[in-house]
Amino acid sequence: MTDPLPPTDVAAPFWQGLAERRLMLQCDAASGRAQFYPRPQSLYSEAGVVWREASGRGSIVALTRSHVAPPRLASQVPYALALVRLEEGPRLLARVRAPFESLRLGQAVQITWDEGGGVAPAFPVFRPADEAGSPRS
Amino acid sequence: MSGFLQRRGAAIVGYAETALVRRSGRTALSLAGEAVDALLQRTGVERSRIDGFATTLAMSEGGNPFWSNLLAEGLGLSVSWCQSTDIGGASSGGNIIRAAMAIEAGLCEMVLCLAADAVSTQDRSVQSGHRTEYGDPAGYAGPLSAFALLSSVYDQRHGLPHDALAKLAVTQRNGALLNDNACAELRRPLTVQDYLDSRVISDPLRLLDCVMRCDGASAVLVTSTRLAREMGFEKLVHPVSYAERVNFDPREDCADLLQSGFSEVGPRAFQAAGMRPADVQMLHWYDDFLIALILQLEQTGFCAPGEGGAFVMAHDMGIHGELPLNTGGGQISAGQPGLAGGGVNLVECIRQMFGEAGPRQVRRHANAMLSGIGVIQYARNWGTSSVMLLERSQ
Repeated sequence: MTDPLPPTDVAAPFWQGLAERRLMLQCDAASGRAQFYPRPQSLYSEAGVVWREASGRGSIVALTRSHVAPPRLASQVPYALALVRLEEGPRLLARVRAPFESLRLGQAVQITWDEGGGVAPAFPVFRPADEAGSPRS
Repeated sequence: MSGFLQRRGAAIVGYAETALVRRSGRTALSLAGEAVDALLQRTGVERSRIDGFATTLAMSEGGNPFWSNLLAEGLGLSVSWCQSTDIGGASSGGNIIRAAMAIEAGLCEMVLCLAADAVSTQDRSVQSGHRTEYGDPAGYAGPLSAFALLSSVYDQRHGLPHDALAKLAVTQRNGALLNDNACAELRRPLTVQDYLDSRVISDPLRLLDCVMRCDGASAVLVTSTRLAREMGFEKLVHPVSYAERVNFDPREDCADLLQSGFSEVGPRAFQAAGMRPADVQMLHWYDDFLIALILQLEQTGFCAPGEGGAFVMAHDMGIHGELPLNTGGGQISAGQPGLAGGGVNLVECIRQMFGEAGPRQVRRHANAMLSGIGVIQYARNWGTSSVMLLERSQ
């Protein structure tokens, strides 16, 4: 297994954001429409992109329990892997920290940062969203 | 270009393949050499007559930046047109059309289209871009993850047709049992219950929903119909239409994860050929996952969304059925030789059209539909969808 490639220049604000526990998205400079993953241009116009922090909230639009994993996560199988549609629009591939059986498509989730041991920036992981009116920390 | 195809200007005059072998211990070049030797022997074409060369890439060769040149040198070819095609599983079919384009443009007249990979012996491929930057850290485990996620959407919307998926698995396995080139590990009878009982590896996908990687090579010879006739070839297969879409819906305007490029290339290929799905005599469809066959049925015009399972249950898609599918086992039951996988479907298609499939020869083989799927996108479905319609020379 080779070392992961370094983060790309295009995505630098995304990776910097993770280090600060902020999920940063590119948005079309004209319409504000968000896109993920980071690209050298807006998908929606030729106006360019601006970076904005996402709410970290979304919902599960596709879900699997994976018994296989890339080498660095091999010790964590099985885990729930989902496509999360962020409130801002784009889909993000991420694990969901919850028993697979407890999850369903359409379920609200929110980002969690309690991974990574405080060393390397953790890649976003999600958990079931708090009930309305009881935000956690 | 489509005029050239429509007037039957391009002709496939020969095919050859190696056996598909799990961990052969060989290299892509070695496998390629065997396939090319067999092709030349079968067609009687001299090596020096080949003046064009198109190949797929090989995961066993990693990111070799000179792959087509290296192969040409290794295979003793001197050509006036040469290229590698990197649209994944759509590359084998795509190369037939790229060869036809080069022939029509006058760059060459006798093109070797090769696919060779020894990925199960050695996988040296490294993908850059979203796969490594956003996929690996998220827990993406390869195409399996993508098709499992797609399947969860299908399941919620329509209900996964487990009975139809099982029927497809058994139907294709029955073809592999009659295919001496299929992987030995897969040449065992399979029942519906075997499929249903197979281990879930990424819910809702079972082991038997997925291809097994192997090593192998295939080679196809493409020329102009004019030259084919001059050289005395009697069996010709013409690609009569082709449609390819790379990066369908780039702006993600379509919120439907299941909607793929097939919804665009299917109708386009049929229109160009003046054909309808009901005219097609057999299907040689890219089958890295069984659910991909259901989605192709629904998106290329054979049935409506959500009805793929019912279509499979209502039709006999076996060798003696009304719409034979992947008669040699497909990749699912013969094996997937890495990036050469599309060649498995392609060579079986031509073999059937030539009437040379022996114990698994289908009755009606005047035309066929070939498809390709290539590359997994980030959080969508697949990057390339292709459809080719082929017709046997009258």
